[in-house]
Amino acid sequence: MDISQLLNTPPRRRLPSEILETPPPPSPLPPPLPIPLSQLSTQSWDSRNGPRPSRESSFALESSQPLPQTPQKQYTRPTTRSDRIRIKTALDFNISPASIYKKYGFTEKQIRLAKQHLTPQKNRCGRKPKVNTPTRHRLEQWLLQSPSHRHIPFRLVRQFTPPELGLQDCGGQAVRTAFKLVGYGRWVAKRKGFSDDPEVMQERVDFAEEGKTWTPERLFHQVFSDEVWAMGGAHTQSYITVKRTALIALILSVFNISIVSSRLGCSTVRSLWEERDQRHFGRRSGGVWTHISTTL
Amino acid sequence: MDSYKYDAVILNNVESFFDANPDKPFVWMQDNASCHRSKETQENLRIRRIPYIKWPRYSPDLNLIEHVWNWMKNWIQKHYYAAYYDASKIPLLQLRRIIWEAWEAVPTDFIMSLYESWWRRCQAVIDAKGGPTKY
Repeated sequence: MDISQLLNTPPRRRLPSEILETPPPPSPLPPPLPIPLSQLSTQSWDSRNGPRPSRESSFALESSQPLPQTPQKQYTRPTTRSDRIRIKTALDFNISPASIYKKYGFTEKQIRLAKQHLTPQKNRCGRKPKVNTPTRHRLEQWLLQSPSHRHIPFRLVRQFTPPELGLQDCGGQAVRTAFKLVGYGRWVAKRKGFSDDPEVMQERVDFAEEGKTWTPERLFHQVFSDEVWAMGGAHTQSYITVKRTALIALILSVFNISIVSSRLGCSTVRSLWEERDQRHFGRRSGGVWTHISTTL
Repeated sequence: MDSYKYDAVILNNVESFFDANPDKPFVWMQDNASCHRSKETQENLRIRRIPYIKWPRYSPDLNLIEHVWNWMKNWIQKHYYAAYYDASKIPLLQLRRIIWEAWEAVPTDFIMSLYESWWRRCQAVIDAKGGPTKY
């Protein structure tokens, strides 16, 4: 009896050389045992009769013919962290990827991935923001209540916000994340500027030439006055909390519009500018944008 | 601040100061804020007989009192932490006292150095041809 019949397993595929040299003779199968009526529907074929003779015989006949073999897919050996460190070190020493491939056999994609990160990166992982969405919106409303609130550093916000916001246990990073999620950031506050109007500049020069001739007695009888605002360090270089649209407007007012548009995209700048006008002035910025478009 | 408040709060006290020193030729200076340039303020200055000079526009670097304010702000920032960021949380009387203490704390040497820098400031404006200066 064939061993495969004893083990009740299909025979392995034989090599074509084996088939050609020793073709197995077809063996007669034993006749099936009579089946009791009580076991007709409850017993499986194997438990009643042993291996299935008809299938085995047909498979043995088919296996006698040479079958086309599916080519095995060749996988590259996955890199370990040590491999990636080795690749990154080689790249840091200006060794070309071709040399690395020749030396270690890593593929171009493996080298490229090792150059980016040593470990796999996952998105949307980590702890959730400490300040939830309703609190973030209330925090934004508190920020807009007074211009002085914009000067408060993130680490001190919990000391100045009302207790109902529940930020007493929030540090600077939590507040920074909360403001970032509603579109705010911390930027250098704008200082008081000068006019580049030639008429104003000449006016200043004329007064300075006159003031230079003042005697000390004349100067001591000069009463100076000024209106002053206390805005939490606004008289020095300070940081304020500004929304991104306002920041874009500030950038547009300082830099060339074409430079900003080349970095951010013309449509992005236009949408931000229109959002700014709609928010702060309640109007569309058709005229302004027409001027900007002609500048580009 | 509008012209009415400027006249009621500021010019009223300035007039008292000028009336108290009739023998000294003090001259009033004010920048070009809208409430300073208004017709009402010009008329009020004339009625109150306060002599003043025309100050050039956009010239905070020539105004010596600007630096005194900055010095006082730094002093308040150092001594009164809560008033630094939110003065509205401090009672008005206490805020008035804090400002008065800061004014009294301004050193005389600092005031004198500002006066001594007047001619250097003027020269800096001339050298910059009316542009911004380091002051």
